[in-house]
Amino acid sequence: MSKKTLIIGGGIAGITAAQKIAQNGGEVILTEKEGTLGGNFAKLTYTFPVLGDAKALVSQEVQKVQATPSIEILTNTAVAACQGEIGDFTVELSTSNGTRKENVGAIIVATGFHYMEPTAYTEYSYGRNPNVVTSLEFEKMAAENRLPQGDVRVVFVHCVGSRDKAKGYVYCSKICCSYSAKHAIMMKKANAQSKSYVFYIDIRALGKGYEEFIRSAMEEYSVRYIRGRVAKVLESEGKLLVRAEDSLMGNPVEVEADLVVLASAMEAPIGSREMAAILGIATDEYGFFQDVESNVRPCHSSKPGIFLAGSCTQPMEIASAVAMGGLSASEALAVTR
Amino acid sequence: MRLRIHEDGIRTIVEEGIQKSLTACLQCSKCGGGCARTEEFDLSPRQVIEYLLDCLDEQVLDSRTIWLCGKNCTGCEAICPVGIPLNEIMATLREEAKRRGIEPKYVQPSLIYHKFEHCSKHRKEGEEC
Repeated sequence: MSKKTLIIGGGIAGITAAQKIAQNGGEVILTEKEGTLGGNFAKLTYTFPVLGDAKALVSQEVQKVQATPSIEILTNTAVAACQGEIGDFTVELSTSNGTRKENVGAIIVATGFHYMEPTAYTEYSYGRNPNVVTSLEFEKMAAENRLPQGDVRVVFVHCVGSRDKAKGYVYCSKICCSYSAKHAIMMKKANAQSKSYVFYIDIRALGKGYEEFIRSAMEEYSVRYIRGRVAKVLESEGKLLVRAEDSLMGNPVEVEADLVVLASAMEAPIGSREMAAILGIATDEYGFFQDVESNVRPCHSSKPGIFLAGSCTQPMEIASAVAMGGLSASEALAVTR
Repeated sequence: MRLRIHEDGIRTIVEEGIQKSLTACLQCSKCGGGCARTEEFDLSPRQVIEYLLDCLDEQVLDSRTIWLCGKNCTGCEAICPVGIPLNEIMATLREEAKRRGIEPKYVQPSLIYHKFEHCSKHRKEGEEC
């Protein structure tokens, strides 16, 4: 039996799992398909509900795994093949220096999520007008100090691709309500003159401090929340015209905006079904990896010895991904030690 | 006046017609927000659905919306996130209204709508679209 654990994915869930296994005397091979560790977390500027420095937080965790001798990190690496069973898997890794075979006792899949590209939403002028951006692009703008200056209006649009059976996914992406509030606060902090508007259907603030965080956006940062799903974003004389119905009034409304931010859905990571086929595990209807039992065994895949962690299983926030990383680590240790 | 909730309305006729439950509606209000003629409506399309669910049949059949919505236009259907066939619903409601002898409110579709909403070259001429 091999005492090593293979962790696929170097985002916060994979990093946490690697740290916990190493702290408890296990050995880890941590693979990442990109050139650097950190995953989606590393693309953020601030965390919520406390505005923490995301890049500092994640690099602290990355440095910890880099400094741990029992964690071997392989970047630019993909899993090409996987045979065997619990306690004795043979995996083929394609690295930048060619392929290599490894024998591992357990596997943790932590491949993260992908932000949906809202190209299907032509009614929002996405892809046509450079001032209609996704939340991820907004993060990048914030990190590079490119948020609009002066007397500007910024509109945040919830549920783009989420809760949309017709063009997106039926599920709620869970974190968009909170990160849109974060973005509205970031906007106000970066430009005190700016005015922010958030169009929502329902506000889902499902975490400790989340409700208070969103209330603070409204009460302390003067973000105006309007209940109604945005129907159209039109281009009008160099500005954007956002049209919706204020459903509490039952009245059509429009806002002239300089920037429109679309909170696009969290979707399954690209290539998740191919990855599942290589590993011999199941995915759900959306391509997220399927757990065998969602309440008491959230990190057990359909195959014994292969465990799941983080947002490759469902949309989730950083705190949950960390918790699931820790849980999957203890499951892997139970197999390998 | 407080509404006493009950279940005996034309909702069932409408649902049989579209082979779908009206409870699919998210009440997100995207339909009314994008509608070019929403200002002529007394009920927005999602309100028609909520009224039907509440069995407020008379208010629905007496509304202007059912005579205006769903004629030569699929604006709301096209953007509805759950694909509710609003045109079919409105057609069923018009039939039901006719059966009950309720006079149509507006029969002619708005020509302004056709000219300015569907033809982008007119949009820049200062006309409301």
